[in-house]
Amino acid sequence: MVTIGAVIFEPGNAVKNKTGGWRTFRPILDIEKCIKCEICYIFCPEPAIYED
Amino acid sequence: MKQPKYPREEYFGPGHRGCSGCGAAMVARMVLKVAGKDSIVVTPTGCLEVFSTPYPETAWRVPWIHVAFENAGAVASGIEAAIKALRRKRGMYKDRKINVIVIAGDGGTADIGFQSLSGAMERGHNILYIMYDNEAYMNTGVQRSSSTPLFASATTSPPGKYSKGEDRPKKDMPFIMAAHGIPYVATACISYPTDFMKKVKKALSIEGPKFIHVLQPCTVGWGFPANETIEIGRLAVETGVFPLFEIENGKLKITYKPPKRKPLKEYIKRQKRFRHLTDEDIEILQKYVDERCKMLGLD
Amino acid sequence: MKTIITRGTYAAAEAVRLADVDVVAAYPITPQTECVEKIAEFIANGELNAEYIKAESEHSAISAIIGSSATGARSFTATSSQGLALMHEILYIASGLRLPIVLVNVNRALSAPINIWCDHQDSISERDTGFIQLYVEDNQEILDTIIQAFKIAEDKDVLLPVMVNLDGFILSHTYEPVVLPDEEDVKEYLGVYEPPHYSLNPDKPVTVGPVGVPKYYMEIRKQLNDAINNSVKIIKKVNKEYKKLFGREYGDGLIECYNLDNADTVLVAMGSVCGTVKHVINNLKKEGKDVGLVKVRCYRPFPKKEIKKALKDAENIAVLDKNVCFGFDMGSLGLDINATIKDKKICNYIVGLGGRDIKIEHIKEIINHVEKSKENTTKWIGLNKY
Repeated sequence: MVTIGAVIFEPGNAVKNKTGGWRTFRPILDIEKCIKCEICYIFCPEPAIYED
Repeated sequence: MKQPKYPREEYFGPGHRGCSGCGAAMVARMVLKVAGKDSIVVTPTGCLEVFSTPYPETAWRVPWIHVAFENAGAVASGIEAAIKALRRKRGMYKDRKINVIVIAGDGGTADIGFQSLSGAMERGHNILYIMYDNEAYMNTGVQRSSSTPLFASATTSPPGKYSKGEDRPKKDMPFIMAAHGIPYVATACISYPTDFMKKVKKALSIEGPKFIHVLQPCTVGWGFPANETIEIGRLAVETGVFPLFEIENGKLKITYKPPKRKPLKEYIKRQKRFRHLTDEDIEILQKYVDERCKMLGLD
Repeated sequence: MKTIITRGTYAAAEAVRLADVDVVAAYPITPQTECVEKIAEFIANGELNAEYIKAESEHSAISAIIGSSATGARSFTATSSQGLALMHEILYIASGLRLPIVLVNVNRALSAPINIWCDHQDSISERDTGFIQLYVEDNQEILDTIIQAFKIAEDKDVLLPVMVNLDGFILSHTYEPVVLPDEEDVKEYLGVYEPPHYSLNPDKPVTVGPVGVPKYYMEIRKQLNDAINNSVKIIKKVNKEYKKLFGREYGDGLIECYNLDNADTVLVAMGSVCGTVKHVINNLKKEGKDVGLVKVRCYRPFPKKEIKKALKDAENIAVLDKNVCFGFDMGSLGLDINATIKDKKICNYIVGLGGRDIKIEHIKEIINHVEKSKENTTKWIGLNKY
């Protein structure tokens, strides 16, 4: 069933999409060394970095 | 607990189909972190539109609309007008500010959407128009736009025996927008998120049309490794290729002065789109940059 | 309720005022301009509470009201000819996004050579955009049809843009008596526009206009096709309701049959020429000859069933077209009637291009020609030596 006018009613449902199929490098977070500068957080093109 | 430096709310992503190291995705995310929930976004056709909304999935968590390539300014005008009418006639959005924001590429802004943008700015609609500039038509495969810099290689401005690549300098969007007499124009770069987000916040606090030109290096179109997006953007600013400034009510203010401008070569040499250039060519470009920096009072 | 003497463009503006439209965006073009001038005047005088976007082109006008309609405002624009052609790309998007926009097109010929006078080439060229297309005969019908257009467009079973077409100069600049319904009655009839499907509202975020990947695109288009087909019922229903409330109806809403009983020869036409045809029919009747008319009011969706029924006893069918399908040597209505009716004599007449007058003698010439004709032909009427 398609929606009327192809409107998407579920905000942000792209979260279900598994990205990274094209990824060759992966950032590895070393919690011990983290000084919470938030550089990785703000530059992440995906919001993929969380505080906890 | 340390006060977070950046707002934690996310209104864009995750799960979009942007390339690794995509700067356009960073633009959308940073803008909405500042603008927040009470925003309506218009995006014309382009990378951002395509990679964020393949039906039936969307990366957007605020109301978002795409109509066509060349009319984002007009669509935003209509949304703004509707909000005014609904507020006045039906009491909707009482005591609530709704941000109407366009996030558009350089092609959709400086070329095909130029008339629509000019009309919207001239009419004085209360909208924020953000041009994410990756300096070519990246969505269709790196064709030159009027925002492509001099001597850059693009698929429709290839270097060759009779060509040094793009033969025209970059169109000066911020000054063209300022000439519309709008209250706020700024340039920004994703490599300086605090500066960019501060400018978005300031723009949204001003009534009337606002324009922010944000540079967004493109890993595919410019030819650099995906983990260098931020570094390349920083070099654009540090070399003076892309100066950061504001034009508030017609008054120009440099918002970041590089302590010592780096030679242009450092920026050029990192990108495949410039690899055909000789030292003499780079000298010509360096002269352009020097002149512009002098004109802006950067040095 | 009061009767005023007014021109077509003003009758259209009055309808927009009565419909209490929220947002208007427009760009001037002859012969439409007076309509949006009058609306601007209404707003300036406080007679209409609406936002008016003085767009820098028709392309932006339609784009702006897509934005306003998607935000939940009742939205209107008007144009003609080149202006409608400039909107072309965006018209498909208005229907694709299922927005109940009302667009008044004051019919005018397309360039080149540039010509400001009436024919239907402009709106016919937008036939397949997914707009409901209505054509009107006189100034009263302009007013009534625009009010009805909002009712039809906003119906939860339709949710499509509607284009109301009126003939440039012949109607737009001609004064006729027009009955204005009471403001309160129209307000009550139309109600406040509350989008039943979606709107851009931060309290309920939606994504509008995403990429329609091949896996879904065909179904989305089929859904649009179903919607415009189903609107037939609503157009008929609205016509009936309107009669009950305001005292006027236009055939069954889709077509209007005139003097079909005992008529072997039947003309099929759209727009103001129907008035001339009716006049000729009345005179012939006095002479003891019956000729009929099927006025096509709703061109899209095309009322195949109704037209088939109306023409079932006709022997000579004459289809009048104010447009040409270049390279097919027929007009668009002629093609459609040919596709709808089998095994009957159907002649197609290209008339009134670029403001060429369609006179009583031309209608008589058409009647004579179709009656004598042995086969289906196309003929240009009122054509000089060239």
